Amino acid sequence: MDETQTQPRIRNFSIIAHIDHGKSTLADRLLEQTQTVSRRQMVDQVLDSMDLEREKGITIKARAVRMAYEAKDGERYELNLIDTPGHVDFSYEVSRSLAACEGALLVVDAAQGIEAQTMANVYLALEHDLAIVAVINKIDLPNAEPERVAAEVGQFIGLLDDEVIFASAKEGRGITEILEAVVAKVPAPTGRREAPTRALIFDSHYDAYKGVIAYVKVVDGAIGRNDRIRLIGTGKEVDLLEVGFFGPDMQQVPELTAGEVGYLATGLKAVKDCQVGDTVTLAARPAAAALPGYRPAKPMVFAGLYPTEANAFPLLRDALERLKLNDASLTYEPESSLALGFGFRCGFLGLLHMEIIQERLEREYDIDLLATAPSVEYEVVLRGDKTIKVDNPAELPSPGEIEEIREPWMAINVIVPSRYIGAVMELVTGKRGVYDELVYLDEERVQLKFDMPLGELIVDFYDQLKSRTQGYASLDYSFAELRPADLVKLDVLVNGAPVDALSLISHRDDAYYKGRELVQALRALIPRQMFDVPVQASIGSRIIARETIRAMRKNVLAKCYGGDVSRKRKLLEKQKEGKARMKIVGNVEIPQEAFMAVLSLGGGDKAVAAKD
Amino acid sequence: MSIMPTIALPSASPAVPAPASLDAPLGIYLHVPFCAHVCPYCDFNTYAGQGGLIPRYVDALEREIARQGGALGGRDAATIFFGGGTPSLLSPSDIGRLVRACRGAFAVAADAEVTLEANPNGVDPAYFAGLLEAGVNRVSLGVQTQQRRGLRVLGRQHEATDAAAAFRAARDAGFANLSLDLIFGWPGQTPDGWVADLDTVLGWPGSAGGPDGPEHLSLYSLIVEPGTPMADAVARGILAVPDDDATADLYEAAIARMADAGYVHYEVANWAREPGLASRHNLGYWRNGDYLGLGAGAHGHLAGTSPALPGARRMQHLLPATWVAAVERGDDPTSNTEAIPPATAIGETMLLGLRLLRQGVAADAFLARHGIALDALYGATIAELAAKGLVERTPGGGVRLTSRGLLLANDVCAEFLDPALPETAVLLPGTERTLAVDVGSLA
Repeated sequence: MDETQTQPRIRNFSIIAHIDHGKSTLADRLLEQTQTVSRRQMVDQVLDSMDLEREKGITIKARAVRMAYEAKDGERYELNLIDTPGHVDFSYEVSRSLAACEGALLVVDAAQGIEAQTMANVYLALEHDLAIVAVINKIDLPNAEPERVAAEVGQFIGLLDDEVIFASAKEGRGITEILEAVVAKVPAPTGRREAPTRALIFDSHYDAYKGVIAYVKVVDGAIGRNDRIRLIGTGKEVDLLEVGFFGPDMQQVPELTAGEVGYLATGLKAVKDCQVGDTVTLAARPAAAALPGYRPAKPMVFAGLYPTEANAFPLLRDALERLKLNDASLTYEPESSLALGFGFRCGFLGLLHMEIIQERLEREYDIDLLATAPSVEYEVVLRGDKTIKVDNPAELPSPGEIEEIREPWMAINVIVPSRYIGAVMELVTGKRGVYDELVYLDEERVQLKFDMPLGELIVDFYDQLKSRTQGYASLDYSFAELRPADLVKLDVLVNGAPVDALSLISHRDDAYYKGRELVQALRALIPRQMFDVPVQASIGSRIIARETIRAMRKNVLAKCYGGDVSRKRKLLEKQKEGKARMKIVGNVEIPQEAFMAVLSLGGGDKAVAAKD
Repeated sequence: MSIMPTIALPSASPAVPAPASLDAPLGIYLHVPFCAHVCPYCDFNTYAGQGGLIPRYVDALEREIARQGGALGGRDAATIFFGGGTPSLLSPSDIGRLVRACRGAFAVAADAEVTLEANPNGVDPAYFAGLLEAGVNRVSLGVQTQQRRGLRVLGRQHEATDAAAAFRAARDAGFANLSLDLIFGWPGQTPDGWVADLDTVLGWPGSAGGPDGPEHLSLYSLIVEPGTPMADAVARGILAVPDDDATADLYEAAIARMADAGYVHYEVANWAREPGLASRHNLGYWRNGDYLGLGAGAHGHLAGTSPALPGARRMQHLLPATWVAAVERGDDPTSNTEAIPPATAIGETMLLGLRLLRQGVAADAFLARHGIALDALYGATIAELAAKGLVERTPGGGVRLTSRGLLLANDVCAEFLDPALPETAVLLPGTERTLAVDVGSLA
């Protein structure tokens, strides 16, 4: 091995934490302590740079920051902190970030203990052979139980005493101990400097001037600023514009060598050409094999996005195109709905991802959107043995043409205090879930494992789980397999006309009650019109439920005199604007919430109570 | 009972069309922002416990009337209206001073309608005699309801007997033009109780020789305005207001009862014994006419007269003390001015004019006022709404609400707001009339 290489003094690590357990604050303290960012320059929580992330308290895009640290052994270390997204929608991204590390800080709230999602990520980290240092954070809280939480953590992953650190990131306690533990416990990377270059892409973003910026960990070899690289997965070749690291601003270096973490400015036009998990090698001396674990981004949840105003369609297309530059997992294809006109069928990693995209379209691109209820992708075997994929319920072929429908099932993992076992089981079985395993984590908490159709999971499951366990449950899930199911298409007719965007695919046994609840919810959500509006649910040509929205009888300003005119005019203008945001289907005005009504089914009378 | 009426009814004016012409006389509104007690449903600009300010306030009103009269060159005025608040907190001599001030500053017609809003408590025959003396010829009495429960829910400080006594006192003093305000849709009101209220007041004495009952009635559906104590009580579930269906029932019951009694339903919430007894001051608002608003928080409106002078609505300082101080300093007490561009003005003409159930918006008056034909702008809208049975044509090519359209007036009026004006049209009178007529003749 080359004596001049820096590898022995590199430490690559990430932070695994549940939302709100203090990851961002801890990261801030590490950056301060190593003087990567001075306290004065410190914008709180440097790592979460998107507004939306801050608002939702989650980290969407991973970041990698290099810190210089002079340890107590007198040596100077290069510490790379690789941030990971904190939501289950982004678990593949998490796995790639972990694959770029040799160690992880497991941050656990001293009052709340460990959560399902955190455990899932811990297992991921263990699969990648990462050294784990536990940080019991927020010990300053009055209800903190550091010893109990430490014991719990130790029990799951068998840590030694010096692998557990008590800290309060908020008060700056334990930060030096954490940095020392990273140096002592996290192994140095072990790549070969002379081997053909292989670098793992663990994140990327699109930059208007430099094209796609790939975040990489160089596993073997080196990458210089003048190199021509090849992406083994996509086969793309490109001349690099620059290489560097984040400190936390982009800082150029002549090259990145084995063990180092940094960025490559590729000049590529879209992140889909440079996907997370892909392997970078040099065109001149390519590596024989890619690094393991690459999986092209695959959306799991689908929904139609329609502009409320038809002329905003090109605007929406441009906006999706631009978001796609930065988001390999977002897919979109034009589709048209009889009810909603022209729009796009979009694919997302999960509901949160969908919500984020929707909000960004509305906020950053100022497009008023109407989203249909999310659906999953079904595999439909037609008579004559042809198989098609259907992600839009309206496009499900008629029953006569179908041999079999297969739907995606997920492996679900819930951690919850044991007193809620019954509530969770009831919820899960009500959603066609199949119980698999129950493990007692300690005297109070259990881990429940079961399988459930994704189609049920995306309909209100998480909210229900939270409310039935008073917020104590935490959830993790991953794709298991496709399974055949007895499914039917449920159509909705408003004022006698089918509204394709309200169709849904349901298990046959649930279709009746879903139809009934759906029309009840719609009756509450669709405002009264100037005439009676029947709302019906049907399977094929058979009507299974019906409600009538009674005609509005009175909507008139009681009084309007000299001092009222402007105010009353504005009131009517506002009413008119509200109407403009609704979709007119047939001659009935349908608000956005109606298209999402299906999400609240099974929530009892919640949807109905919302309006009455 | 032996006192003879000292004034005649205002002569029944020939039906003035809506919208008003630009040279129609002004209405003068004088706001009295004082109340002994503020009712829990009220969101008007009014204050309790500031009665000590009244002398200065009256002085300031007098001064402001003179200032505005000077600014407007003594324009014709047809009506004076004392609104509140509780104008009946002012003494007859103060009212007299203010009426004289108006007559001094403007060319107020000899038979001008002079209205004062009064509460049933604290008024007696002597008070009403004083009002007549002061030049007031119309009183609007805030009865609200004759149900005890309703009076308490509405936070009124009077009893049912007070309202009957006040009405009789006004009659006895010689008032031949009396109006009553009643409210329906208050929490706990029953349909029977509502009709009983109407029966009661319709049985009160008429003016000498005339039929029983008041000359004019305003029946308002209670609106729980945000920010009022009542809104808070409703939000907290303490009070439950009837839903739209229930208030629609009450409204329809009132329409039927009033028709039965022979009253003309001339505006959404207003009934007159005969067309000439409609509130002339308020007709000015519904015809989108010009009016001055003087006093704390009062709004005035002057229509645009040329492209360089678009219409505007002006509001005076809200707080009585601030308003008084501004006038005493010799300042213009205007706090806000809202420009009314032509498209907005046209929308307001429709929003207001459609409230006039009998006359609606007249085609010729519309063209004269806005410089564009009604049908050129709204032909398609009217046809569409007519097909739904919500509006109908009036004989002169104008438009008005049908009885079905009345109940859904907000939805109908909204269709007329913010019209897309043809770019080439110059939408103010005195210019480019030819173009407007051409467009109109195509329609």
